Amino acid sequence: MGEWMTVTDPDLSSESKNICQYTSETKMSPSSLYSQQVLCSSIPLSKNVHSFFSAFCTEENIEQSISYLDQELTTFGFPSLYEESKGKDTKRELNIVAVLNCMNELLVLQRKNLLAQENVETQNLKLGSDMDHLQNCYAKLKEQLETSRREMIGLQERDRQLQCKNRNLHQLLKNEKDEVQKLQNIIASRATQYNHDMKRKEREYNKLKERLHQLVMNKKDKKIAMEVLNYVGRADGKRGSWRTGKTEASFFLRNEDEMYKILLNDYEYRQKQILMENAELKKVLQQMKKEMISLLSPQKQKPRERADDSTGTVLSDAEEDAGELSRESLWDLSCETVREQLTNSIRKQWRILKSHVEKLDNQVSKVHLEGFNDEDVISRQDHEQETEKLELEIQQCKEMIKTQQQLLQQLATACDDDTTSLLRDCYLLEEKERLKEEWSLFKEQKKNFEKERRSFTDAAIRLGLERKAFEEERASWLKQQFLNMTTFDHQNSENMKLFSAFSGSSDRDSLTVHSRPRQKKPHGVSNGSPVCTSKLTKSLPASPSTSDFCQTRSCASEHSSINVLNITPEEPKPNPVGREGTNQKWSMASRPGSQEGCYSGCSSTYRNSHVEKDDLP
Amino acid sequence: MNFSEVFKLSSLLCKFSPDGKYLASCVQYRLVIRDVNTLQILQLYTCLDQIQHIEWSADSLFILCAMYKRGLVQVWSLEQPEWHCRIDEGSAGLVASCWSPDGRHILNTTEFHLRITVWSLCTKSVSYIKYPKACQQGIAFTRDGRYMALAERRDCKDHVSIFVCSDWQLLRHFDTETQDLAGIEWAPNGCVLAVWDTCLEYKVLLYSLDGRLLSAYCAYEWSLGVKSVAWSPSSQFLAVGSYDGKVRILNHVTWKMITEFGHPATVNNPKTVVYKEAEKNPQLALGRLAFPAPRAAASPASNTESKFSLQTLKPIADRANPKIGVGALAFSPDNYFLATRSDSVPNAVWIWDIQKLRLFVVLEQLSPVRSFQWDPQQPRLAICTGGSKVYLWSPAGCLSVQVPGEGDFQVLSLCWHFSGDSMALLSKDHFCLCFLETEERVGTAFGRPGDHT
Repeated sequence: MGEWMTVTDPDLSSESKNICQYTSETKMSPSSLYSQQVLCSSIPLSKNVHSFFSAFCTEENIEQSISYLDQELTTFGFPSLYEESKGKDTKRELNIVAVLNCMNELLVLQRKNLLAQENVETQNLKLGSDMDHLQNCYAKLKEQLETSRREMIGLQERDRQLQCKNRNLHQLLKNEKDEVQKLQNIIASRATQYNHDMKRKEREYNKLKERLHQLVMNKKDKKIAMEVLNYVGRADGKRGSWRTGKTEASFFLRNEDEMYKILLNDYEYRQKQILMENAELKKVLQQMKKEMISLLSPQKQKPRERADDSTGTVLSDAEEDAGELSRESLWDLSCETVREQLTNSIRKQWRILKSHVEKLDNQVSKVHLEGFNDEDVISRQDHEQETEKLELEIQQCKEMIKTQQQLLQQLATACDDDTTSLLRDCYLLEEKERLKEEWSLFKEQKKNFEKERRSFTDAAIRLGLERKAFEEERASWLKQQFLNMTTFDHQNSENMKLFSAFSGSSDRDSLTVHSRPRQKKPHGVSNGSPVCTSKLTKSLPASPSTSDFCQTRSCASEHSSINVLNITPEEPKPNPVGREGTNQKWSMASRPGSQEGCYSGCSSTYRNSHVEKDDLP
Repeated sequence: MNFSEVFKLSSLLCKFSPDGKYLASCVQYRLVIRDVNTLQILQLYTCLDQIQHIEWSADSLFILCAMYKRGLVQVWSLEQPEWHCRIDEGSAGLVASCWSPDGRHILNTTEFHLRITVWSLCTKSVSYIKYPKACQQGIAFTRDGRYMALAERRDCKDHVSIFVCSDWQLLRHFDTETQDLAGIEWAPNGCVLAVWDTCLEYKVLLYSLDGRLLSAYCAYEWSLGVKSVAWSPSSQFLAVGSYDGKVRILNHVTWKMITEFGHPATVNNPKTVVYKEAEKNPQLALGRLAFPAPRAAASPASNTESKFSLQTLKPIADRANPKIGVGALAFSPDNYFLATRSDSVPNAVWIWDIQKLRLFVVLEQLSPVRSFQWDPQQPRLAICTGGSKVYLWSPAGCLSVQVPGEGDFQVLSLCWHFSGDSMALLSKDHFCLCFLETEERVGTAFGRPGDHT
């Protein structure tokens, strides 16, 4: 180590000298830094090599080492360690301050260098990692390149193969084409040959036929004959006419005439049909045109407002045309002129209509864009609201229909199991309900009447009793009168006696007690109503049988109000019942929708009807 | 719906007279004439051999019985039972015989189509027409009976001759631009003649009565062409069924195609009603078997998948006359409907709405449709499939009727009475009449619109 240092020292110095020559200012250049580092590192290299330092400077060579250091330092640009020499030969003095300054500067330098070294080291590390990354990237890319190159080679190979195949196919196609051509040629030749053969054969055949014909026909075949019992008349009644040379031509002409007549007729018929069709079509066109004009005329102002639009003029033209056409009788015109006019006008109209429709479309789209700000267009929200409302309504209606259907079904199933009658019932439901109500009304009335009648019979019985009592009383009274007439004096005593005599064994007290209140009552009854009593007398003899009920009921219905009125003071009971009945009825009527009410009403009528079956005719 | 008792019949020869009063049927060599209403035998004629063809004259006075094997034609009169006529073609042979529209001439085609002999019942005159062409439909009379068009073959070219039927004079003669003419058909108004080429080439030519070519129509080339042709009763449309399974409708003004009706095996349009015959318990044999269940499946409301597949037949490609293409088509008498059958879907009958030009109804039967015929009076289609049922369709609905009677009555063919009140159902050796209810009572037999929809 020591050797190396000694050896390198001059080297270093020379080097550093060189460097200093051109890098005195730019110390931070990497090379100089490095060299400095190396240089600096040598100074604080380590403490354990203190011996080396001590070896550098010993007691003996202080002067030398100082001078050496001075020299070194000066070469590095430090101020000299020695004081300024005053004299040339005088020994230069070591300047402590300079030494210390130098040392300080060296230390600062050292620190700086260390910092720089650190920086460099981190940079180095960074660079190393960058390097690694780049190397990785490079490797990857290389791999990719390799694979793509391989792929390319594969594709190229396939391409080549396909091309090869294509070439083969082309070849095959060509071959096939050739084959087809050949076959076609063969076919053609065969066909010509066949045709030729056919013709030959046919000729031969014809010849043979001819021969055969001659042979068969000219041999005077006896067998060829017609046996007829007698010749029949022609269907048209004409006689067969013989053809002669003279008439033949005329016949032919006549036939031709007829033929042409037929053809002419056919053509005329067809022409008529076509004319008719044409007329129809024209009519349709005309109508269409008119409608178009009428449709477009309200919009006439709009297009005219637009100066740049040519539709206005076109429209006016069209109108003029239309006027002309309508004035002239359209169908009398020759076909072509009319056709041209008509088609032209229609075309114009059509164009107008088209432009108008397009305009409308544009407007619509504009309106869409503007977000329905236009006033004369119904806003979308309104529209939606309206539709929503309508949908809601529909929904409600549907629900109502459904519930009604359900109700109907339930009712039907409850009322009757027979489906047909069910259906009929459904239709007559309202009527039926009404009838039921009437039924119940009648029922109540009838009940009332029965009660009434019962009360009446009671009353009648009571009346009978009373009458009996009254008659007894009268008899007694008459007796008394008679007795009085005979014996005025002993009136009181006799009366008492007579009573006892009349009543017989029955105790007199009870009877009199009984009779007294009775006497009052007939008054009340007679006061009440003569109608009632008369009726009672009528109905009294007959017991309240069912057969008579109808009659009484009819009566009752006639005079029901009177009856009720009559009864009220006498019999308090039946009336409230009757009222209840009517109340009930009304309550039922008031809720016809409720099915239970109907049901109960129904069932009640049913019961009643069972009970009263006999009564009704 | 009522059925008469079952009568004997041979070789499906049973025909109503044109006036609707009589019914002629053949049993071996006997010809039986019955009254249509009472079905009592009015006349019984005995021919010389087994009858192979019968035809009523247009005025219903005569009936012709052809015995091709013997080359014989016998004619019987209804008015005079003792009257008889026998035409012998001798060694020339006989392959076809028909009445002329006036009912006084008989046209006999000799073997090998050597000539057509026109025999007159009024005079002794005999006319010959040479060079008739042996083809599917070589003779055509106009509806009014005035003209006859005849396909001819001369010098390897097709010709058409138009004759005046009253005196058999040649009116027009022109060659047609066909390779090998297959058929001719007059329009019902008698002014246009449709001519179509052989199946090897799609070509329909339309000629005026005076021989002018009005139009030529070719839908496609290099494939099998026309298979069937039908005029609408109004002469307004010409329906051309072809081997590509399509029907093309030509109009009478421009003679161009208005529309084409394909016959795919799946019915996609949910508006189309599909009636599918369903097999039911055989115990319910008597009475009508409507098919409500499949109807429900096919009705527009419930048919959610909106597709209905029909049973198709794979055609045998290497045989002649492959079972493909539209083999039968017929317009309803009121022009409103067109019924078609595609031979590759043999169980189905398509009914097209001509007013709306779209498919209206598809009827799918359990077995291949043998034949169908429209009621002459109303849009009502009768269908038979060779089974024991007869099927009826009308716009109101569809029904099937079991033919009553012991044993199996296999309906091979049917023909309507012109009044539409009855029809004859023909089986291999029996026939019976089926009487349909009159208008007031139809409601019970037919599903009214309310029944099904």
